[in-house]
Amino acid sequence: MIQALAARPGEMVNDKVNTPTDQPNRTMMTIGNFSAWYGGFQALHDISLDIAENQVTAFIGPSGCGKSTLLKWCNRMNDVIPGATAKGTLMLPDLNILSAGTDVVALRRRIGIVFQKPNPFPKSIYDNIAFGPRLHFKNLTRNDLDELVEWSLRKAAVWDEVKDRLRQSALGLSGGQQQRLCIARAIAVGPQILLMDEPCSALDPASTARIEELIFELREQYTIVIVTHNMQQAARVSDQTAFFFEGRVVEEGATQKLFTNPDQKQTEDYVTGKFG
Amino acid sequence: MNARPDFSKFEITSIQARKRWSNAFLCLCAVTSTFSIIILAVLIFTIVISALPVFGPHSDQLESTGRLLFSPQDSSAGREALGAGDLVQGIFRPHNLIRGGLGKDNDQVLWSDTEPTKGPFTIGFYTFEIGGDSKDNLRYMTNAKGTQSVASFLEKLGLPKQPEFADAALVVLESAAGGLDFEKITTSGALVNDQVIEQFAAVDDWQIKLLTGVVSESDFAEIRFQESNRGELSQIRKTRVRKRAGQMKLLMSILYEAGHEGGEYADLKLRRYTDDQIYKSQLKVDSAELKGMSRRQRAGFDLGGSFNIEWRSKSQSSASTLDHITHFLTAKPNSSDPATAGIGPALWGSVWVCTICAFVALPLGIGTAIFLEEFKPTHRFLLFLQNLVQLNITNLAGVPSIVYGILGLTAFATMFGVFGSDKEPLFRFGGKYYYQYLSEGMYPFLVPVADPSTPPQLIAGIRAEDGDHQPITLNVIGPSDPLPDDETLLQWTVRSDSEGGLHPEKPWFYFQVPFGRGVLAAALTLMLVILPVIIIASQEAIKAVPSSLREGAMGLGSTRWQVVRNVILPAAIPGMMTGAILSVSRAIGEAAPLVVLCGVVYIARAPEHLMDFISVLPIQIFYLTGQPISEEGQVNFQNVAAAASLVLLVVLLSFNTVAIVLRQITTKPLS
Repeated sequence: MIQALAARPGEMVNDKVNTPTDQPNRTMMTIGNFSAWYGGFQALHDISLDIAENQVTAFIGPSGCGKSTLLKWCNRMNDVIPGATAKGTLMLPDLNILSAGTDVVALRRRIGIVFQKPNPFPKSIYDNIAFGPRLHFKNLTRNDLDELVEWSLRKAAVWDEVKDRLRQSALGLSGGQQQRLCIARAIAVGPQILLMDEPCSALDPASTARIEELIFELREQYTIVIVTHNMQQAARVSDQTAFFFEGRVVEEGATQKLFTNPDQKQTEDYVTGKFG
Repeated sequence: MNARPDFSKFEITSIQARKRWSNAFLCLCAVTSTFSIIILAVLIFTIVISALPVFGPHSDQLESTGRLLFSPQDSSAGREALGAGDLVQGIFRPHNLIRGGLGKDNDQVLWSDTEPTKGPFTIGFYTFEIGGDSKDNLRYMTNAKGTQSVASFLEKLGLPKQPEFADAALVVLESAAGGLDFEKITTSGALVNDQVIEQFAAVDDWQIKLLTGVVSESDFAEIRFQESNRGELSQIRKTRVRKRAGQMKLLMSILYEAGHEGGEYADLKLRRYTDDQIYKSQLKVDSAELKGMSRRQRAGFDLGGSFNIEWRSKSQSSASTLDHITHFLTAKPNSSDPATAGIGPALWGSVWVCTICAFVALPLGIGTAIFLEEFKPTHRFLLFLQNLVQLNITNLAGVPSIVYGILGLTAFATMFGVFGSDKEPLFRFGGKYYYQYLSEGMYPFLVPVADPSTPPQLIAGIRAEDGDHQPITLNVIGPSDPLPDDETLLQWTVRSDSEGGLHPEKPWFYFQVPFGRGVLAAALTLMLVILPVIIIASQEAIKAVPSSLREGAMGLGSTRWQVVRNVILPAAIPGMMTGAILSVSRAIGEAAPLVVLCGVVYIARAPEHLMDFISVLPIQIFYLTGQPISEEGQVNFQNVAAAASLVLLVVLLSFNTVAIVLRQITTKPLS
């Protein structure tokens, strides 16, 4: 069951252990000439980006530059916002995300999301993890579910802390534990891509370090897109970085290059802390 | 410009000045909150104090109402006394004598006894027997004209002044102030010399119950009527009194008809069988005469013509407070006697209506709230429509409830007249219809009919049932054929021209369209009243669910409905329950729309099906407070109203308690 989840049929299996490298992997998501609006306000202008498979891509930039908007379009979370529209290409290898015919529910199973603030449901830890599998998988036995919960929690490096209190409320966990629980919840449905919207901004440095370690480990099996305000974080965890400014991608590329030797003056100013 | 302002030039506000207004306001608030406590305390105190007499021990608990025993005594003396001026119309009541009821313009109290009266006393040639321990407080009344005499009354009944008449058992009629409302009366064995020899089976028809007749050895006959609420439809009431011990039998049937719509007449037949002789008489009352009267007067009039006597016996009560409470909660509202009045039907009515109302309104209201909050359309026009709906609901919450009463009347009770009338509904289901007849042997029987509007043709071999729905074989004879001698054959012998009365039997699942002014229409109307409140409260509860939960569930791939089902509802249910509590409490206390819909009418029994007429507690309280205050007696109708209010509060609290417990269960913390 767990093996099957880690690589569900029809999805790409990648067993090799990735190390940060300058060689970009296969493209997982293609973003081409992508523009997005909130009503009359254009939040994104002509974004073109490739998200590489099994790598961590960081979106950095000052507040209001559109990085979260782009992230949320990646699994259509903007659908419910009145007046939110988009144009351009947003593609998985086998799926046009923006197409009206796309099954959003199936899409969100393939592309999980973790939010800025930990948002566990007011249920038990177990039920939080089991929430997604129960939605999507029909032939779940009790055993399967138990295994799945344990696997997810282990994967999210929170198992040891919660294994004795699975039936207790998830709201009793600390902020960092809650966020790792949310990551476990997201991977419990076997996604290919994990979107993380400033996952550490509400956490203390110790918890942040745990999450960062976790992201590093998860990269082996998932493609991760992370939005962050923390330059050091982006430098630490990501392989690729895209710098956004006022709805445009100013520069993108390998993290190391972008942080040490950016092509654009604006990027350099931002990553060195001259503005932003 | 950029120089630092000179802050030292500002005078610092003193702490006293800052506190002055806040202190004044706090004082006001303290006074108000104290007052609210006082007001609540006074409210409860007033209600409890006023209600206490109803539950407390009454010194003179009434055992029975409206009973009069007529006993022809000394026949030789009696016949002399039969003349003009003798009084036949009498009303005996301990207090609260004639209120609007039977009395005409200048009623005259001819005889009054504030002292306990003992034993039989005689007026004319009739002896009035007073039962109980004779702590009675009687008044005797006559009508204004004074022309109605025993003689003329008997004449109207067709009972000649014959010697044997004195020996015959005579009629005892019972009545009460509200017209045709008779409490169940205990067998008056003590009154009739402990020689009750026969108790007749009850003849139930659907509106009026005609009850037991008792004949004693000693020339007593007592016929008891148990009356239900409305004299609306044509009804047949028959009874029989037989004196077995002697040679004679007195058989009496009263055909009573007080239709609103048809010709209004009262028809009183008295048949008397003395050996082979049959006295048959009819008292026809002109319908024009009836029309000028109120229903209450008419009821009294119909029953006995000028013969209308009430009597009540008081006796020391040994009942405990618990007995009083039980009696109060279950008994029907006795319109003549506050001491024995109860609120059973209204209590049941409230329970029925509020339960149905809650079961309909909660799913609808919560569903609407979910739709409005969680299924917002993205299309501009649809969004506009939804906003319009939202605006409407907000406005509807403020619409005076009496307006909903009108709406309920047209939309639910009559359904705009599209589906026929209440009396002749287009669709009905579950009811069984019979025509009720009285056989020549004075036994009631029923003939089932498919169409209630046409009475069946009485022919030989027709299907018929007795009172217990056992099939019987009828012996149908012509209008002028001689009666069979055989007693057993006579029992189910009927003349082909006999008149019957409609006798519907409606089980609990009886249903009709339109709904009529009954339980269902009332519940749906109250639903309209509370629906906006439920919707708004539920919407607030949904809005209070943090959107991060919504996003989380959505991000895991839930559909909209799964988000609602798994995340929103569990989190919002407690808030929704609070709204539901408030709304259902409002529904329990709501009187205005139901006054329009059901009217303030006297209802003597709990509803039996969804279309049944009802009264609810607020209406019952309103009705009770409208009753006159009696000078004597310990219990007033106002006390009864207070007691009913107390019950209303208790019902309300228990509804709320259940809801609060439910809320606690639904929000039980996980850790």
